Amino acid sequence: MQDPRLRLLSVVVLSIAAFSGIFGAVLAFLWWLFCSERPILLKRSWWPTFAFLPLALVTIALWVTGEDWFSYVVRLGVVLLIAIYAYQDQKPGEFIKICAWAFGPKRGFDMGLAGEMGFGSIRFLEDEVRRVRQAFLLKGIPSGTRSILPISAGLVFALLRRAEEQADLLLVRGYERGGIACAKFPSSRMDVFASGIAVFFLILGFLPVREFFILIQ
Amino acid sequence: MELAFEGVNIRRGSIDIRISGRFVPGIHLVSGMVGSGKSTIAAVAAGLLAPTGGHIKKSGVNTTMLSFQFPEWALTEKTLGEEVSSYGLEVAGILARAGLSGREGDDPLSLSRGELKKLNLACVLAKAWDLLVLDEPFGALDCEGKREVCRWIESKRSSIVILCTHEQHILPRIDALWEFQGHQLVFRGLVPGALADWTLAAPGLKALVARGIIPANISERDLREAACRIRD
Repeated sequence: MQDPRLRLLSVVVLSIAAFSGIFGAVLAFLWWLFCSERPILLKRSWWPTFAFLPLALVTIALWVTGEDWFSYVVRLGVVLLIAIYAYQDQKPGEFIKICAWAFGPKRGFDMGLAGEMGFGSIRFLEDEVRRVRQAFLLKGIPSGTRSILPISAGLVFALLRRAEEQADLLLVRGYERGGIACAKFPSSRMDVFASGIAVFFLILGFLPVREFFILIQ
Repeated sequence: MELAFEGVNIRRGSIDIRISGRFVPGIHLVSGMVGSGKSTIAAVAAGLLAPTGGHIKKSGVNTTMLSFQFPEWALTEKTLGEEVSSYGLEVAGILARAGLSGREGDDPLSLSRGELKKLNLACVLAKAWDLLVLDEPFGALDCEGKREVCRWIESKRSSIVILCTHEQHILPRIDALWEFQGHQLVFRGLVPGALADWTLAAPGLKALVARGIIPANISERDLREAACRIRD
């Protein structure tokens, strides 16, 4: 999706639809399957799928205690898929543009800047982990459990250094508060169609299926 | 020993990098403009990046090492001593070679980019590898540092050495010349015969070739010797 505003709208309404019940989750899953570029994105970077690990643990706990694990895993699973799509389809600079567009050049810009720095740190960590793994591979050092501690410590220090550099950069550029993000949002008919479908699925998710069929009669 | 690229292509955004050719023991200079695909071929040759299409065949290549363009990418340890040890090398000798004697306990990231680059090259070039890929080894080094690294590289002629750089002036004596034409890697030939076809050669070398003087190789010494052949 090219227009980040429509993507955000779609993600919010689909998350609500998926969380509301199994029927909404199925609709949101269908949207993810047919209206997003999910397989290409997951192939490009699969590590966000680790987010399913805590979901699996909680599901097992619910199953063991005799709770309704099926509804939980379906609803939260789809919410996670939508969240992974939202993260992977997002491009650097989009968040600050949306915030500045929605909340203005002062508060919106600051919110967007904070968000961009957060997203930037996640991408930075992703790159760092890949590079550290490559360095271990080249040196022939097995990157097992023994290496987790030095790698983690290295990543924390790298993030701290990056934060310091970013603070220096903002200072050098004269940042005090607020700013202008020249927001231009490319859009396409497909974007409008896909987000329209998402909103329709939200309405459908909250509408009892029986009443829906009465309505279309 | 041989590394062969058979119709390899790598998609990087909207760019399609194409590589075909065989690398045998000796020093291969891969020359190219910024963004032409030098770092990509380095990563592909080292096995860190899978090609989009085509095949890479390695025969007799059992050990591979890549010196990254950015030396901090190779760091895995917290101190200089531990970093040198991670390559299985003797610490004091390597630190002395890199001009960092007595700094075993220092944080590698407390070094300047040039110091770190030299330390990384000292480690990488201290061991014998079947395939050694050097991505911009002269970046961040001063002239004397570049000359020293040239000497280290020249001692590795029995390995397949792929030297990816846009450096034009201080270079080691090489065996084969490759060049990126756009985003396609082209084999120019063996040195010195290939020098006449080297489009990205330094202006001094081009001037010599234009006068019909072909240097024996591309090191500073070879170019000086060739320049001395000019009569008027």
